[in-house]
Amino acid sequence: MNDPAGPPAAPTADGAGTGDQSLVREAIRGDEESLRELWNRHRRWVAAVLLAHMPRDAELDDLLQEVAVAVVAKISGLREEAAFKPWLRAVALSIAKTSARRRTVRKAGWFRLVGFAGARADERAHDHASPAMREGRRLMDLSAELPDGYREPLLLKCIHDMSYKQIGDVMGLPDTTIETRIARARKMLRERALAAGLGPESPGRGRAGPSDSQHESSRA
Amino acid sequence: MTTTPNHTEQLDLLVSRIAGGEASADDWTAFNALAAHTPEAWKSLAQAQRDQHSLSLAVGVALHAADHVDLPGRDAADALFQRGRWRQDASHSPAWARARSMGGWAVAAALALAFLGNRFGVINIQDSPGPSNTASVIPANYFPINNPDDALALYRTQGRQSGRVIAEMPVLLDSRPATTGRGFEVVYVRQILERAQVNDLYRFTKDEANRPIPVRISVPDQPTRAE
Repeated sequence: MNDPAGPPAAPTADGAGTGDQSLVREAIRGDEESLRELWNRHRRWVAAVLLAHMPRDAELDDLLQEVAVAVVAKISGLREEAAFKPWLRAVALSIAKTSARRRTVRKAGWFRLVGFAGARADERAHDHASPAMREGRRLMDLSAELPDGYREPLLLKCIHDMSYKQIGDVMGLPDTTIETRIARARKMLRERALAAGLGPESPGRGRAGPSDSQHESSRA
Repeated sequence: MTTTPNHTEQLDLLVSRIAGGEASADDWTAFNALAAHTPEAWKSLAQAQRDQHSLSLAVGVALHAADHVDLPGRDAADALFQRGRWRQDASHSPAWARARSMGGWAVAAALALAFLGNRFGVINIQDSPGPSNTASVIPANYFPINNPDDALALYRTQGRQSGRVIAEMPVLLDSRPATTGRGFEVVYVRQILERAQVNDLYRFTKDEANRPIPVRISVPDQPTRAE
């Protein structure tokens, strides 16, 4: 079933896409200021796309740097202004898949070379994080186990003010599909969290036993 | 009341919509109506909101890095992009093809310095003022070295003057909040590009016993002899 119960929520008029088209046109023509403005508007969700698709031990800021370089180098090849967001997402996906492993290996090599004994920064920061932050990190880790197509919209929804419609624009999917995927992603994530001992025991909702899980999987 | 799959799906969607901040007044009405027959609904909503809050917090922190990644200039981007391609191709190329590419790579690295310099506050070698900015008030050949930065600045300045030091390209390896509570502790590699002229160059190959042995590389294309 692709239709959500009831009408989808109206997209928020937060202006995130306002004026993009003229900026994209100018950026394609080589105007660096327009491209910079576009980048500033969109880099957060680009980072979220990377976060959803990169290997767990990759470095987000490194990959985002690579996307920035590719955007500047390749923007002139963009043919359709309206395709900017899917194009930007495609650049991020490509870099997440091809570059992450190489960089991680190189950094690990440096650490071995200098005998750096420290743990990863986020693991160490774990000790000082609030309970909500620790729980959020666990959930983020668990979200890596979600089926393809579910983690990305879920993480994008965590960006403040990003509506179903805007997520749909980025992923090239109807907002109803985005909403359905996010709802299922939440449920699957909660089931995994419970199995991992995270959160209160048995939410009770919907008798979320194996049959429900199978139902979700078959619909995915 | 037994919860049917339809009810469950509708409840899941409403809970998700409310937790995601997309619910309208009608959604709340629908949720209240469902919750009247499904006591677990409120528990589910509370848990979903808690998950959304925790996850948003973690994602927000992870994405904080995005705010500091700016676009490079076009020249730097083109050079870096080409360098990335070279790096991929190089693993399949013979050693000499790699060596010939080094000129382009060094240029790209110098441009990368300008790009990354903004991020890490690295001194651009071309504009290096010298150790501790004291060169204008003390004899030019006197460089007080009071700390590692002074020593490095001296190396950079003299290296640039002699033509040996080309550029510096730092790589951030690790970062974490400082234990003092102010700022961050960072671990990084200072990659310094140097240029040198050597009489002999060797590459490693393997002998019959599969042991690595150095082999001297002869100078290709001797223009003076060819003429």
